[in-house]
Amino acid sequence: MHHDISEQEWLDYVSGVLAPARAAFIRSHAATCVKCARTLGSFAEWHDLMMQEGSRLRSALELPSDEMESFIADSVEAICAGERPGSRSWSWSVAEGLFFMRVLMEPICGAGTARASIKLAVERSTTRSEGGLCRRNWQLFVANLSEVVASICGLAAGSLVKHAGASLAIAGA
Amino acid sequence: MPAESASRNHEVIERFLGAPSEDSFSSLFHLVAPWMVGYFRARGCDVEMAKDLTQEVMLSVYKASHALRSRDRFRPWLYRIAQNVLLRHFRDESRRVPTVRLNAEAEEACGRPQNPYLRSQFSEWMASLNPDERQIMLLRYVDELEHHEIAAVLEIPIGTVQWKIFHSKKKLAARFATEAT
Amino acid sequence: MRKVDGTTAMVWAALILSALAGGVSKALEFAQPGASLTRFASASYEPLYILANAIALYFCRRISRDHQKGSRMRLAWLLMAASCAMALVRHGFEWTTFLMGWHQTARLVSVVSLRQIPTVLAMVLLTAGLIAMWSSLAAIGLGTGFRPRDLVLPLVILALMAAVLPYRGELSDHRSVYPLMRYLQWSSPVVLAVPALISLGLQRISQEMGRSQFADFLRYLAWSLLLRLASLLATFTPVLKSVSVLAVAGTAAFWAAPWLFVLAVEQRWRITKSVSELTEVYVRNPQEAFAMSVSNPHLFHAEPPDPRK
Repeated sequence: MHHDISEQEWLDYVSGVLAPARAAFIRSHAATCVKCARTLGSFAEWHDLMMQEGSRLRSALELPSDEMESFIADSVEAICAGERPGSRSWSWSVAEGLFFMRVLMEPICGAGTARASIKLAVERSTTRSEGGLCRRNWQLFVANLSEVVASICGLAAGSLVKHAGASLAIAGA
Repeated sequence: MPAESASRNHEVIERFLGAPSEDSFSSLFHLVAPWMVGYFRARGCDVEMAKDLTQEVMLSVYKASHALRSRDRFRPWLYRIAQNVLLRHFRDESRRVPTVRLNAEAEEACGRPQNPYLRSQFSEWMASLNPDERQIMLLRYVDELEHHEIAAVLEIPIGTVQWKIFHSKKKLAARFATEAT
Repeated sequence: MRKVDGTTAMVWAALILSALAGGVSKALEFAQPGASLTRFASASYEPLYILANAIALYFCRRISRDHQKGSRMRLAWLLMAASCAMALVRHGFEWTTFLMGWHQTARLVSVVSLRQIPTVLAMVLLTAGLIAMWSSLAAIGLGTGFRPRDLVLPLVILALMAAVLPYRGELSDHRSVYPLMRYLQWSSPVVLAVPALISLGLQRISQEMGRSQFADFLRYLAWSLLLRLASLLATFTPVLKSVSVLAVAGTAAFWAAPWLFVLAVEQRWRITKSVSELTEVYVRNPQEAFAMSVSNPHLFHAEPPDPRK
């Protein structure tokens, strides 16, 4: 901090997002204080240089307009052909569903526990004839997983797993 | 970003969030695609990979955006998805092939068009920063996110974002001073 | 969420203040031995222990209700709650006898020494709770595979215990008129070491679990018990007692230890709070919850699905 103006304020000032009253103070102070004027000058110069170079880079990274148009048109067609926009249903593969459940559980109980719990729940939910998890036994898997998680992290965590797992629509047979 | 274009962008985002349709999604895609392609290319992806990853991001947006009610949360949310997609891509790449540092010379040798980022002054400057600082500088000066948006994307306090930018400035200023002498 | 974070901050503040107060009280003992202020300051850890155990009891009870009736985890938390209740009885009794001046009379070796009963009971209940917790985790395959190097720290602790056992005569109730109380006092280093050793196993499990809120809880739990053991050793071993810096640090650790336990259980309670909030979002609007999860920065920690499967 220098003359009661923090580094963050210098940055906000040169970016043009500082509150008007504070910006007015800095402007008037820099007009009278040599050291602060130098600081402001260096911040402004650096900021302008970064913005310029960033802008130049952005332009260089842009695709030619015809290539971009063609990419957008193909992509929009492909995405919209899959589902209606704003649709409230989507389907997941089993692998994606498991991935999502692990993502949900990891911050709570860790990757190791998530793996162990899922493995145990899969064992409890599948028969040899089914050959693994599928849409038919997904809800049973979710119920078993919820029970395993609840035994370690509590009923609230088990309930979260149950609701999250049940909200996924698994694709396939 | 100039106020006028920011206002137009908000309208496009608002239109899609408020009334999703193929038409409003197409408008959104026109707006967002250059941001995303630029985002991925600035982080070392070639054109085709940048397009693939952009599609992946837009698919997530298409599936999940009706849950978002506020257009102000859209950009941080979009860039967080992009960050996750990119990290997953890098992890998959490192599993499939030995990690090869992308460099301009290798690209040239393979006859592929050079990634402009790799030849840019900005890339040279970023090489003197640590990965966290580089990420923030790219989000600020190439992707043009505001401090509070960067804080939301990276889930860090806004003070940390400002401090890291300030710290990067000091490092780069020292580097410029060395180059000048 | 902000409310829960504030609680954590308060517990940390209590921990730091207790440690400072402990250090100051020990420093006073060296500076003004025998003064009445010094005696009062040395005993002032009792109200802090009472407060810490009361808070821990509250959290343990609430967490136990978050587990199914009849489950091992629920039993574990009920046993830990009972341990906190016993500790409350012990420290409440000790503080009362101190305020009544019995510590300066012959009652110190008679009535006051009865504190060993709730002390040992508290440790036994805690040990039973930790065993129940371990068994619950082992049921899903955690904590069943240990490497040879995991035995190093337990062996160090056992060696330290063997080294300090001859000094049990320095403990306060070894002169009790009741043989049972003398025996319970002599067994206290062992009774304290056992839960510390079990907590090392739980700490190892936290590594198997991976980075998470639950793993943080197990780590804090382990550290609180190890700190308590270390501070007990520092306070009654003559060699360590005589070195002022070590004695001050040992006393500071002793005063801070129960707050580390509070931090552990509060960390576990935060899991229940945060998942309850997220569950509400799922019940209200699964799509919004899904959108939150899709943008979750933790997404990159999980391995993506194998497209070949």
